[in-house]
Amino acid sequence: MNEQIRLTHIQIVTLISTSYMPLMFWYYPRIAVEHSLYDAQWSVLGVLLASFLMAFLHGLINERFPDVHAVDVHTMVLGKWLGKFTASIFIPAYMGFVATSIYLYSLLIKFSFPNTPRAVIIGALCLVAFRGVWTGIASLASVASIIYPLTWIGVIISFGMALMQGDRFWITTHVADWMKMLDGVYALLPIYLGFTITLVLNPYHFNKKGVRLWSPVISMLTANFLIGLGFLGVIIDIGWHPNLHITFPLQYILELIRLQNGIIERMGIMIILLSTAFITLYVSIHFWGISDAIAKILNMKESRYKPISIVSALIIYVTAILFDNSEQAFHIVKVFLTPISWALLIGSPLLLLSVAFIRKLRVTLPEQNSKKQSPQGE
Amino acid sequence: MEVKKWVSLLFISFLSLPITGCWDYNKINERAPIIGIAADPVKGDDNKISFTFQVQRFTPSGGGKGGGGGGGTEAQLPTNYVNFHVVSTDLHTALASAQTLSIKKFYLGDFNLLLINRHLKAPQVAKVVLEFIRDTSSDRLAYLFCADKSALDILSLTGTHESPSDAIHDQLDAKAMQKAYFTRTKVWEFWRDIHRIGIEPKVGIIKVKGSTFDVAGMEAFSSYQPKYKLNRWDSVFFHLLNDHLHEMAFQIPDRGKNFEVHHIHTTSHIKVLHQKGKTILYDHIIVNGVLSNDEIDNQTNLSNRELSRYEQVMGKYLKNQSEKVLKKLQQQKLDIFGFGQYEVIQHPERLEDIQKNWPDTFSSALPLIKMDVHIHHTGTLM
Repeated sequence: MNEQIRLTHIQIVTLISTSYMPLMFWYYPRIAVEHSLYDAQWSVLGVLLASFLMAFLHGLINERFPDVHAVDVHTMVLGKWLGKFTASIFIPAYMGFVATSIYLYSLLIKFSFPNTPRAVIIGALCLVAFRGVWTGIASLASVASIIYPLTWIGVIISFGMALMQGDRFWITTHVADWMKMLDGVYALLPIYLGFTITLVLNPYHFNKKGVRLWSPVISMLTANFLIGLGFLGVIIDIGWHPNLHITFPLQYILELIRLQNGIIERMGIMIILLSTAFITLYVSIHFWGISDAIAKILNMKESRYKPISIVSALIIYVTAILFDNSEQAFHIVKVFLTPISWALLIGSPLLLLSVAFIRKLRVTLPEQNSKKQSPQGE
Repeated sequence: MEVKKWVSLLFISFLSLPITGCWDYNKINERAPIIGIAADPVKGDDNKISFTFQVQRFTPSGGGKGGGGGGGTEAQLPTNYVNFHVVSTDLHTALASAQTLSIKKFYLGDFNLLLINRHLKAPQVAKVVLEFIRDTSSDRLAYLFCADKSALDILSLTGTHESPSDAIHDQLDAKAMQKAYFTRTKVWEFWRDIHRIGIEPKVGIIKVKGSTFDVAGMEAFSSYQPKYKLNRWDSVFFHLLNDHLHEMAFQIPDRGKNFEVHHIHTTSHIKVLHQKGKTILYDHIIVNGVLSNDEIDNQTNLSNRELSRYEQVMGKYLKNQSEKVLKKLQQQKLDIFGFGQYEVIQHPERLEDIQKNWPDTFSSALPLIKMDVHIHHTGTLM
């Protein structure tokens, strides 16, 4: 029974952290420059602030409805049918953005393996991720607690080195055009698509005051450090306008890091390896999250998520291989996923919290339960 | 339990089938790493470029046949490298043509040097650089240099102990190499400076010197067009103005005599100021050095007043020389320093104006160089 599975604080934070970023991580500096030009850094700063608001909103929902699954929160707050309807809106959106993330990552891998068919790269990734789903959330959490810190350290070292090799540390000191800056903030939010997994993980939290509220915020703090550093690395090394000509600016600067006489001269490849593990886990978590949510919506037993995951993995795989080219994927992110990300990441939690506040809805755990709960493995 | 084991085994076996190595595996002995490319103009035909591909041989000379299809030739040299010459319209067509002369597959992943003849036209330079940079397998950390005359001649040198591409690359990378007399530009840096606003790219120059080479001077570009040549001393003062000098030595003329300063280390900070409607190119340079020989050959100890006078004389000399280089580049409207880049970052709201008019603004701006010189003196004792 899932009620008995409790994940440690670190596992929750790393699981949440592994559930967003890959969609846009490799090219968000280009999007920032495309929309805001020399105000790009303010756009990035703006979206970092928006992300803290988003994390706080998700934390507040989890804190107000402890141990309640995301789908159940929707039905409790919005009523059975409207709640299920709004929860089910997440499913196609999530399938779409996971498929887009996988496709964009396959493009990145194609730089290293140009002769390998894209369908095979995507197939291998989906297959491993699908196998991960069947091991269950506890195993995924254990893997996340290893993969995320390693990737985090690797990215810090790599982009720190990229930053050090910049010729001049010149950055803008004031906002030139507020509208362009806000346009940049709007366009950058999809980088956090996937964050809703925080609500799905709610029943797996160890019941301790504040854990539910601060886990997403801590996750956001660590992720935003990477986003800020990556952006600075790109801007200091490449500059603003050259970004507009590069598909994946972050991958581009990784290629420029070479340690002379080191055991591994091309440090960048290490990050590509780590990020392959990261995205596999990311896809696995979302296969699990989507399947788990579908099982909840259809009132099925929680263990039924396994067969559902076969269907969801297949749909995502087929969607990912249907993309024709990178422009098409970027267009989908811009036209569909950007407004969806604002609706799902900021709009939906704001609506749930507002209605819950007006209707004075809250779940209180029995004191006994709270005391008896212990983290997994204890 | 048994069934689970078999399912796992089946799953792992299935996973091994689509592993990417099946498609991208290349045997190392079937590869021909291109270590250098030279691009020269073709007389009377601006649409064509004469390419030379320098390929590393893993087994020392011997074999191979001269001539070949695709309009190319293989030059036999008694060394561990071989040059392929092809005349073509672009890099990849030339590579495909050269591939008819080699049974090993060319690849650009271990590439060292891209040499372009400084008499090539902008579209030709653009074609070579862009094709190279867009090739995902190419090594963008390779150096880009200009050949003063023939780029082919440099890749055909016989006086180097290894292939010319490797010899040049090793020399450029050597820590002990004095880098003030030229500039080291990597292919990606050149491409980046083309696209940056308020800065023009610059590239070092390589010349043939007997049976070996000499790296000295630099070429200032206007976008992709090689535009203006700076000699080796111009390059020194460019670095003094633009970034830094390291372990440099100068002989400073003073009232018909000279004194020498060595172990010179400098740093510079450039910015653009606006005063009374005028644009000022401001550069603050800090110079630290050790007096190696004074005007009377270290026979008596220098007083503090005399040392301070030396500092002033040296400051004035360096300032004059640097100003000359800055003015030369201003006359050419070539801001290879990045003053314009500073200006656009400080005033992003003026982007369009800077993008359009910066060469003219740079040309008419007033230079203001502040030189802080500190000379250390150890006295007459050794």
